[in-house]
Amino acid sequence: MQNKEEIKKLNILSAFNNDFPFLAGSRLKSQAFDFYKNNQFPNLKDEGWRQTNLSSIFNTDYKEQKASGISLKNEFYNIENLQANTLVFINGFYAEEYSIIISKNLIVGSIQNLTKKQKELFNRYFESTGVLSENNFTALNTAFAHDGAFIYVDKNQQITEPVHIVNINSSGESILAQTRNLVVVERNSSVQIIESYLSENIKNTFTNVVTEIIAGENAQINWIRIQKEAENAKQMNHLKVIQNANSNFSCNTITLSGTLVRNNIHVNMNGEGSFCNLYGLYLTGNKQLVDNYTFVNHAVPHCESRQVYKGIIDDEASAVFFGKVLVAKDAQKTNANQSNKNILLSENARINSKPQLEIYADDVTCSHGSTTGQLDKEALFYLQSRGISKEKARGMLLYGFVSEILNKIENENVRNEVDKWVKHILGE
Amino acid sequence: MAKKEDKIINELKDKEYEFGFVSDIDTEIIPKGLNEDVIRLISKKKEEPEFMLEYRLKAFRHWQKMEEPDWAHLNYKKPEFQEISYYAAPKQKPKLNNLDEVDPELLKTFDKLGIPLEEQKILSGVAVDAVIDSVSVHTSFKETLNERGIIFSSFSEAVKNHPELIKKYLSSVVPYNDNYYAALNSAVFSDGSFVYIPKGVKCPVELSTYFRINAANTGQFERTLIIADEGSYVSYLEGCTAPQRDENQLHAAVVEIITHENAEVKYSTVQNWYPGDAEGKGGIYNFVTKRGICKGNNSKISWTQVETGSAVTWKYPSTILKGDNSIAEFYSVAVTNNHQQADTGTKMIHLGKNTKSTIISKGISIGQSQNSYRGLVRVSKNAVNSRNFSQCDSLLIGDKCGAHTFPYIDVNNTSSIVEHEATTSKIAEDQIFYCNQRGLSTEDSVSLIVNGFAKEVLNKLPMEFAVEAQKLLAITLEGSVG
Repeated sequence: MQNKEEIKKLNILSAFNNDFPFLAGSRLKSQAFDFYKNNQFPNLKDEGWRQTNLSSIFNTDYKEQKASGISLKNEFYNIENLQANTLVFINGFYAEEYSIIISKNLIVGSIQNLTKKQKELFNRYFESTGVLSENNFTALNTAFAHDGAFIYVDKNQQITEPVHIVNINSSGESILAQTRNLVVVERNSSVQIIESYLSENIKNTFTNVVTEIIAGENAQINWIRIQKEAENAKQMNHLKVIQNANSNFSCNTITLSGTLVRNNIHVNMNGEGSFCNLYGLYLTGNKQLVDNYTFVNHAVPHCESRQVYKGIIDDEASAVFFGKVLVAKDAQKTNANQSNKNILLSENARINSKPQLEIYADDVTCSHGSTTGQLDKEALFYLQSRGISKEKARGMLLYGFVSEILNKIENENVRNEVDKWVKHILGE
Repeated sequence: MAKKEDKIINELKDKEYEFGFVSDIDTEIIPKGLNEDVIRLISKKKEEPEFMLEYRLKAFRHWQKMEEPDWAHLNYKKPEFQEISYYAAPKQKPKLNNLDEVDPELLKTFDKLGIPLEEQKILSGVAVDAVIDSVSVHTSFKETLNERGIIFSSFSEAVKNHPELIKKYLSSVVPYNDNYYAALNSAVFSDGSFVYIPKGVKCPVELSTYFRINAANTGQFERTLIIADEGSYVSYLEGCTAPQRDENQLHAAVVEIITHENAEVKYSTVQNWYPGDAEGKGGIYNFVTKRGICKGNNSKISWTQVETGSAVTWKYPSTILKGDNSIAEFYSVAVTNNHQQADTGTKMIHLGKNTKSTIISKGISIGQSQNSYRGLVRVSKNAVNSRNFSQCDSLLIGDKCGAHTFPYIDVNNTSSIVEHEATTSKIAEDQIFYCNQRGLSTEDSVSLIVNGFAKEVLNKLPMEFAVEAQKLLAITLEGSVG
């Protein structure tokens, strides 16, 4: 029942109907749309969404706005000194004029452009993680994505230039921007992907992103996500990863702004000897809600996963960390750990942390930890007694707290850029 | 090495329930089924005042509207509530003045359990209010306690003798509509213990109640209410064993603790109900609601539990830290074997300023059992400078068991510090190797390591209980010892 009401509330079906170009005529599209119609959006009664009030998403009349006519300055989205293949999406649509491809040994472009040219590859991998039936947001995305990045790295390729996927929202209307990314890295190959979210002069945007990643044997994928949208932007982000044997996937999620940000990361470790590192940093203020949900599924033996999420919560903001590690029955010799550390800066700030371990194998080493606290008063006093102003001292201590995550960003140029922003936010 | 481990696991699995015997006592049972008439009958049989009947009916009417919860990490056949008899009292002489009047079969039962009901008990300093199938049959040490104004009696006696206290405190911590099983308990509870410690009194002995589910097909619905008035102290022990049965038996108890200013209650449990046989057949369902409130400033509630029995355990001894500077502790060892399932943990609700809570939980899973820790730490906005430390460790023995940790941490202010950490591992081969090297057999090593693993919690038990708890742990792990 609720489902019907919320479809009404989203009020998108005028713009997003069966004539929608993405996956037009495909079986997956109708499958996704059926799922969407038959299921509810997650709500506060669902265990994984208990602290995530989505009502601000629903009570809106969403439209779509094409990218044409929006002019952007390079400095707005480029990262200083970064030589990268750049794909720019504006309001979910691919903006070819801003995109640059420099790597030769790489199939990269927008899904809409590449589906015909790389039909066989695309059909082989698209939706191979089964992400559409995850929930109504992923179903909605599968049925009505505007476009997205398709990155295919053939076997034995070391891609030296990273791929930068830039998502920009810019509209005076209430818009729903949906991008759908597919990244396939075949065996013995490696690639670094930077995903950034920005917005300019927006009124009310809701970004719903779904990304599928398939890591082949021995593949190395380094993923960096920077969420730096406007204060009033809303974002739902689903990332589903399949790891084959001896692959290595690492992901940094840096959330600097946005009023409602939900990041789902779902990693299936399907091949022995895989490594997975998930790092996250969230700096929240005002009335923001940042919600990180991770699910690492150790389906096979001899895999290792590590999660470190850190956050600073100020004003009336709240943050949620829900991290789940599942170790299947025969996944012996699993090593998994999880850590979530938070600093609350204001009386009205709020944190909800749920690190969970579900273990069905015995020869494992699993641990998790969660801490919530505030700045060490003695450390603050020490710095002040050395003539450093309180604000500066506070910034230094907070910066020290988050630098563990910043140091995990495996790209110097990106790290420097993020460092600059973080320092600015923390007043260091 | 692997073979030896398998052998140990098999031996552990084959370990029969040691205290499984049925004592042959006449019991008075009312017919199976649950409706308002049954509740009226229970209330009448217990000669309760009107307000109790009203309370029961209110709870029952609410319970009918509720649904059985299924969020726990448990898998079991839902009890048939109409197939349970809700009242069983041992055939009883109207009043008992000394032990000679007690049914000799009953005394034998106590002997087998090693309960020191007679002189030895006074020597060991334990006052026992023994509960067999819901009705108190003997209360000892009454006079000593009377001198200090301490009320320690069965719940039904308290209803008769101290209705004003019951009226004031019953359901003040666990409302009748709190959850499915608490509502059921509120409607049909048969008996239990009542403790009141007056102002400034330190209870000189450890109060102890032994529960025993005795008649086939009777759910046991205990109700315990402990009130510690200003500046008082009491240590309360609860221990249970049950005879072997084939059908699942339901146990849905409610325990409420209230501590006023500067008061302290220490509540210890050793639970060893019949866990079912090696195939997971039979065994007790243990769905318990335990909650205390640190009502006054500087008060303290400490929960210690050793859980080795029951087929299914669903139990979260919780504390509401309402008074400023109040302290709550939760120490738990939960051992599951064969097909046992346990979903247990605690809730610490920080409301007052400078409140502190500590959670130490140790789970040991053997065979094909599932052992979950589920805990909530909530720090409200006004609970400034509050502090929590949680540690949940799990030990896995055998490759078919599971250990899970589900902490919920909710912090709403800036001056509190909350820490949670959990680890899961098996006994490492190098640990066993180290012990072997020093001349210990593998069995001894396992026992040594498990004991060391649980030591932190066992140490928190009162002396008299620690012995029993260690015995229980050894029994559960037997096969690895010598």
